[in-house]
Formats: sequence, structure tokens, C-alpha cells
Amino acid sequence: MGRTIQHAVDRWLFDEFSRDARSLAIARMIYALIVLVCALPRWLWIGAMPPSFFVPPLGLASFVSHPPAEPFFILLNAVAVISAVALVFGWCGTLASFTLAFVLGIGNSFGYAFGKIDHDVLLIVTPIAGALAGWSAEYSLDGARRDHNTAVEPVTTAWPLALLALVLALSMFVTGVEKLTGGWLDPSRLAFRSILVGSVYSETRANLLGALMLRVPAGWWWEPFDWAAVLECSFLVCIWRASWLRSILAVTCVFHLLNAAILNLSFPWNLPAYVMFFDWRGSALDRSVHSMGPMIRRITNAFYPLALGILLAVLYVTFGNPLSRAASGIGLEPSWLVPLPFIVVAAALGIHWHLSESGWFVQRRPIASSVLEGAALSDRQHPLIVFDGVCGLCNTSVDFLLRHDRGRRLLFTPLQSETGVHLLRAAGLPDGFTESIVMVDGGFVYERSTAILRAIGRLGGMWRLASLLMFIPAVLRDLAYDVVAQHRYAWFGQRSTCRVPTAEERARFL
Amino acid sequence: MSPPRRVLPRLLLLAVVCWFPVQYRIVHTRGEPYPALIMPPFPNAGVRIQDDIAVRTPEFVVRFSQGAEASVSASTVANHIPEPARLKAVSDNFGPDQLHPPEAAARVLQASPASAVPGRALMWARLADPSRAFKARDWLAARCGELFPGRRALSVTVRWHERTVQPSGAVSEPRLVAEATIPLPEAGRSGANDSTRR
Repeated sequence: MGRTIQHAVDRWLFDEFSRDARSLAIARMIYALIVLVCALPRWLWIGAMPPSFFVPPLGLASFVSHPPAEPFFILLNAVAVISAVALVFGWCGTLASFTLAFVLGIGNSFGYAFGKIDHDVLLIVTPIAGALAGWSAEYSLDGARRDHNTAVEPVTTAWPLALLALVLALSMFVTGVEKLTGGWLDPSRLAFRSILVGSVYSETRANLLGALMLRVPAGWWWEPFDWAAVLECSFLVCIWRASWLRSILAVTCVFHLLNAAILNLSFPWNLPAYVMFFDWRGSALDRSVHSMGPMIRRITNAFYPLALGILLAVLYVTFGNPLSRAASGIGLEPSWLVPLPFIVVAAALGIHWHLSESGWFVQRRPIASSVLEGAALSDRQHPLIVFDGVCGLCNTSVDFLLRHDRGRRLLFTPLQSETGVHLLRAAGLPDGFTESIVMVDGGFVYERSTAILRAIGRLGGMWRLASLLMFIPAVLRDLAYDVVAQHRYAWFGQRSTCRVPTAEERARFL
Repeated sequence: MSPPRRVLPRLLLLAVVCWFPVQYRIVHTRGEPYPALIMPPFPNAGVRIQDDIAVRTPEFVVRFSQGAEASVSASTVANHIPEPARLKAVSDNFGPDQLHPPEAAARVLQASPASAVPGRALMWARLADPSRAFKARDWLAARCGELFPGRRALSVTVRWHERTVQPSGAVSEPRLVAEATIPLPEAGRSGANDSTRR
């Protein structure tokens, strides 16, 4: 029994949250950008506070009777900005991660010594977990140096992410328990409405929907909002599987957006922790960063990130955060407005991920990177269309894609070719499979209508609008696809031999 | 991963799991520490469905020389403090319980737990200080100088108004629940070219 539990815990700790280096690198960049855009500079106002306001919570600040002078906080901000810029570039990633966590911890200890603690501890925990997991191995100057010196593949570690998941879940759980034991589920009381009333009538911040909601009189119909506490408690169960955690994080992103719109409470500091658990391979962000790879490899000199970091630090300390200044300039609260785009994007991505994972809208199967490299597809810039080479409709479709793919992004191979057979077998499809067009993109294999829509979307420009059809459930789309696929030879003809690419097309065919 | 390299992660896992009950205890006995692995708890269960909800809001009325007055919101008075802490800083330091003049504030508001840690002792003392608003006179004077450049501010009156929001959503007229006038020090009245308007 004890051994079984140990095996289960070890599986969870060492295997469940394993992520590839690219996904971690994207998470690193998102973290650093959120810090630079939303979090810095901070603490510079402390110098202007009267001594009587200083009421430190238990922690570092409680060991002093007054906060340090302004130069101390200027220095902290400069170090934080330089560290964040270093993280964007992945320069001295481990050092920058720990430095940023340390500086944020020190500065916040004093920043939150004036009555209010902002719950941004994930902003401190995330870089520590990221550094230990190896988030600087890819898309980074550190990685570029390693590539120059050795050909060893970057290694990532899963247990820091497992611990980050545990910290996240326990933090949420403790909060949820406070609400449950405080009576949030008492049907005769309305906790959410009370908070909303306080938010709308005692504060002067921008409020999109709160005042509108309060037009609804008090009643049992407000009670479901109080049940959000259950969502927080369920984190503790959901971390057992990475896919469960991703699902609840997706829901939580939408929850944060609603909170921002209704209660003016946005939690941008949680987002960097959330993105650590998602697979970014093959995403538009991954493709964009990957396309910048050659440029990043040329910047192996640390001078550029250091110079940019110092320049930004001087600008931030002297003039403040430009976006915050712009928000203040138009009369809106920066702490609410600046993170809002991140929260909106997180909610949209959360829905997208949830639907992808659930398979309602996107059905895909992973394919090993070694198989892709064997088929000369390691460069994920070029998705591969595997089509039925003897089908008239399929060949017409390929002609269409070749004609409109001005960026020459797509590669092609017939199902009947050696490469096609090899890939389909590796993806777990049966030998002789001709029921559907297949697209291999970003380490995943897509079939049927999803493959068609993704291929059209990759043509760029207005063709991207075709992706909107992905919001039709895959089951319905594939129903129509299957009808056409079953009758394609009768309706559109069949070739006697497999398609042979012309001289012009040869570069696009594997 | 070889077995010896699994020891540290396992120990860290154990440490995290063991830390949470300790932290939970600290939060409930000593107040929330920083940093703490916790999200905003909102432990208050709110009011009963059929009850009114009372909301208190502060107003700062600056009195200039020649008798003119200007009303400013708490957000404006403390607008250089970032949003999450702004209103809390105002309500903690200028709340209805902190508006007693120093000469009239003979009692403290609550028992102050003893603490050998200087910042903690300071915190308990300040939280228990009923004349805390008057300790921020210099700061108020400086803020008035920034908000009303060129005008001489003599005093700031802090008023707390209470409104009730009924279950139907109707809101009552504001009712004054606390008021105190804080005279500003001479330094705060040094603005030149006073051009007050009534």
C-alpha cells in the first residue's frame, strides 16, 4: 500500500507536468513581459508616505521601524527591470529568475506595509519554478550559446512545475476554505453581492458591469456567484492530472475576466503561473518566436539585453511605466486598464485550450518529434499536408493551396508516398488510410475538417477568417466532411496513378 | 532521474505540504504575513438577503484661507499610492475610529499584543491609535500643496458618509457618521498667490 502511494506520488511529482523546452520558453517570455508591462516600476511612492502609515505585516518589513529611503527602491526597480529584460532574451536565465524573485519579494515586503497586501505571490514563485524547470533552455541566448558549443538537446525538469501546481492549488484551496467556513454557501446570505455593493459604492474605480448587475434585486439567484468558492477548492483535486489542471485554469481565466469586469479585481499576477502548464508548441506565438530564431542566434553578445535593460530601467525610474502614464492620461485607472488586455487574451486562450483539450472543437493526436525529424519536418514553420494522391478533389484542393500559399509555408506529400505512410503509421493511423486529408503541424496530427480549416488558415491574410468555422463543433463539421469524402471519387473523379509533382512544385513536396 | 536526485524534490514537496497548516495558523493568530501562499480570502459571508448593506465613503474637504473650500475624494488625495492599497491606506489612517484629536484620545482602540519585533510593535501601536489621522498632518499638507498649487490650505475636514443599499437595489441618501477637522501645520500653508474662490 505504502509503495503504491509512493509510486503514485513519484509519478505525479516527476512525470505528470513534464513540458517541452519551447513551451517553457514561451512561458518565460510571457512572464517577463507581464512584469515589464504591468508590474514595474513599483515602490517608488513609498518615499512620499508619512511614517504613521507604515504598518508592516509579519515578514521582512516588520524588522524595521520605517521603510528604506527612495534610492533603495530606485535600485530595486533598476535590478528588476534589467532582470526582466534578461528573461525576455533568456540571458543568464537562472540568475535573472532568482534575482527577479528576490527583488520582488524584498520590494513588496515594504510596498505592502501600508495596510493592504496584494496577493501576487505567484509572481515570485513562478520564476523560481521556471528556472528550476529549465525555462531558459530554448529561445534564449543561453540556448544559443549551448547550441554553438554542443548538440545536446535541452533537458527540462517536471518536479518544479508539480510543486508550482501544488502551491497554486493550496493557495486557492486555503482561500476557498476561508469562504466556505465563512458562510459563503449559506443560502440566506449573499457574500458576492455584498462585495459588489462595496466595490460599486465605496470605490471610485472604473466599473464596467458592476453597477449594471446591482439593478438585479437581492434574491436566491445571486447565490451561484457565492459558489465560485467551490471552484477555488477544486484546484486541489484538479492538480492530480495536468490536463485537469489546464481545464480548471481555462475556466479560471474566464472567471478572472468576469471579476475584472464586475468587481474591478484583476489578477494579472496569476497568469504567468497559469501559462507554465500549457503546451505552446505549434501555437501562433511559438511560430512567431521560432521565426525570430536566426535573429536571436546572431545576438550572442550580452551587450544588447544589458544595454536595453539599463535603458528601460532609466526610463521606468525617471518617467514611470509608459502604458500606465497613457492610461492615467485618458483618466482611467492604470492598475485596472493595463493588465486588462492580458486578462482578455488569457480568457480567450483559456476557452481555446479548454475546447482543444476537450476535443469538442479540435481533435488532434500528438506525434513524436523524432518522427518529424526523420521526415525532415523538425522545422515547425512548415506544416505538412498529407493527401490522397489519386483523389480528384484532393488534388484540386492541393492546387488551390499551392496557388494561394504565397508565403510558401505549406509542404505536401501523398498518403501513398513513403513519407506519408511513415507519418500516418507513427500517428497511430491504420495502413492504407485514405478516409481523410491529414495535416501535421506543430507536433500534432489533425484530420478531416479540422485539417482543412487549419490548412486554409495557414494561407494567411483574409484566409485566416476560415478559422472561425472551427467554432462549429468538430462532430458536425466532420459529419459533412465524411459525406463528401465517401463520395469524392464518384463526384470529383479518381486518377489512375498517384500525383507526381511538377518541377516547380517539387520543392514543396516531400 | 537517479534515486538520490529525487530526494530534494520529495523534501520540498513535504515542506510545502507541512507549511500550509502552519501558515493557516499564523494567518488566523498573527494576521496575514508577507509573503504568504494565499489568495484574497474575502471571509465575510455578507449580509442576509433581506437586509440593507451599509457602505461608508470618505470625503476630504480642504479649507483655504479666506474661507473657501474644496471637496476631494479619497482616491484623489492618495492618488500616488497604487490602487490596491490606496483606499485601504485612507480608511486605515483616516477611518472613523482614527479621527479623535490627540488631546481627547485617552484610550487606545484595542489591546496591543506585545511584540519584540520593532515593526510589529509599531504596527499594533499604530493600529490602536485613535488619533492616527492627526499624525498625518504633514503629509496632508504636502498633498494639498500638490493638488492645489499656489493656494494656502489651513485645514482638512475628513467626513465619513454612510449610504445603505436596499435589497431592491435602491440607495439611500448619504448620512454623516463621523467628522474631524485636522489643522494643517504652517509648512502646509506656505503657498503663495492665494486665489481662493467660494
